[in-house]
Amino acid sequence: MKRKPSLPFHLAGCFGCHMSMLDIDTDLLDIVELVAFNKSPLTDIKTFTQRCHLGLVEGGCCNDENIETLKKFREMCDILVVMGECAVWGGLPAMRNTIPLGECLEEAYLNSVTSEQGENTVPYHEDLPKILDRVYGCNEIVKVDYTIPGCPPSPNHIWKVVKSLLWGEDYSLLYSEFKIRLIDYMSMIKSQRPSKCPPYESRDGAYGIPVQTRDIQDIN
Amino acid sequence: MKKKITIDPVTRVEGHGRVTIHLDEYGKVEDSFFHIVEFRGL
Repeated sequence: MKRKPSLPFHLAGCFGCHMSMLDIDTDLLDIVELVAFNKSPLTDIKTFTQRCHLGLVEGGCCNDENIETLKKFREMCDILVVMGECAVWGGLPAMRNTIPLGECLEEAYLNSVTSEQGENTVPYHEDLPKILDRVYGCNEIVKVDYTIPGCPPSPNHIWKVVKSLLWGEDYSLLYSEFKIRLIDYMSMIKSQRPSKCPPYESRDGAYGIPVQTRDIQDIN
Repeated sequence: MKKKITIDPVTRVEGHGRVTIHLDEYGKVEDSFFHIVEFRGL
């Protein structure tokens, strides 16, 4: 069977989705049987060597190079899937969208606690990509065929989406699957916490007003 | 002829990175940079 060329790639994200993809674990061996990875951080191939069947993108667009890469992806992939919140709507990097870029850069490079007055500059170099006015989700730049939500998405979901797309089957993520995952997570925390440990409170109000968090029991 | 070698992305690191190496007309390294190309700003 000819392996279908496919690829995961990374823009402005944290590699968490790629890590989650690696958590597919031994099923990855099945994926390797079915697909040939092209341009990807996993293979270290820097440029496309052929047209691809499936493209998986992690991360949104925060600079002009992200946009170029994403457009190239759209051009070279038959099916484009974005995975994770950053790729879907901007995610955590999009928190800067409420602040003008100038203020962001000043705060980060000129007025930070470790910078000395007059000593620091905002980085500028011809080889550096230009930062965009705000962070964009992938669907604001190109047409996206499918999205896998989550931060990061569950390995199980990524695997199911990849498998279904390669076989041309329909697949929707069900709410019940998310719910099961949350309950598993909660019971894991519960089992790890010693029974004498009180619910967490911020120490001496060091982070503002002390917050009484709900006990895990309540959530379950 | 001057030449620029770009390694992008650098993948065996945690986070984002790019290396550019500038060569002079004799093919000797004139300058090299490691760029952090992502800005989160929070």
